[in-house]
Amino acid sequence: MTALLELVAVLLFATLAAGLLRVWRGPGIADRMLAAQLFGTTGVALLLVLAEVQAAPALRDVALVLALLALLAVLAFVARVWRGTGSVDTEDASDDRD
Amino acid sequence: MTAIELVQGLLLAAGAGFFAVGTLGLLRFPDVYSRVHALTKADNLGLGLIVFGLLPSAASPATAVKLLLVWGIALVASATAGYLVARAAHRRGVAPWTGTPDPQGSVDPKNRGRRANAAHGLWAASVPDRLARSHPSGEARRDGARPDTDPAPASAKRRFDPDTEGER
Repeated sequence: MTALLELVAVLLFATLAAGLLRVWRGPGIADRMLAAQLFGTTGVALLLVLAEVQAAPALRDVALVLALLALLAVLAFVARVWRGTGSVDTEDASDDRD
Repeated sequence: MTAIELVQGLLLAAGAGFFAVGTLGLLRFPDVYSRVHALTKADNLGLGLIVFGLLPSAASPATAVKLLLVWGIALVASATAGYLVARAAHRRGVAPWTGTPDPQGSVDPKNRGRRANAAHGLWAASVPDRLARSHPSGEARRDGARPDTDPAPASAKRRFDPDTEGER
């Protein structure tokens, strides 16, 4: 059982690292933000699995906080950074259309 | 290995598989909207399956409740975030991926043109002109469609036209 949990943890870490490719390539800031959200959720799953493998219950609290912060990050991004004004002349407008 | 452990293993493997597929979708899908689609599946189902795989080995009811709470937060978070990001992208005029043309001969060209018109009517206010020009069905619409069959009002179409942007 522990071996399986460790295998799952390694697989989750691999997908975590692969998801960072989307942060790197973009092209829009929304794509990067979505990758960050997936990073948060995969990190939550990884922490839950590690809490079981290492018998470290505190990691579950870390996972809880990380899940909350990942939501807040996306909300702040949509509400303050990427507000939908319909304007096309903001600095990142051309970046978003590719 | 007991039966419960077998079920746990299956659930954990399925959850990890959902995360892998969701990440693959995030990397391979062409635009923001489809990436939101891939992402929310990984969030909801992947984390849910992993949480349910871990539940039987939870030491106490409090631990089990905490696991479910983490999943509940992730459910609310991904639903809210996916909706907000997609709506903000639509309002900002991020063009949706209109897809590759249909395979040769599978669709009557006239019908294909009408469908392209319908798509442009739906997205007319948000599709940038250069994207419509580079897309094959957009090309067909510009060459073949009658202006009176075009459902988009001219003002909405001109709104994001970079060619006429400076003249107004």
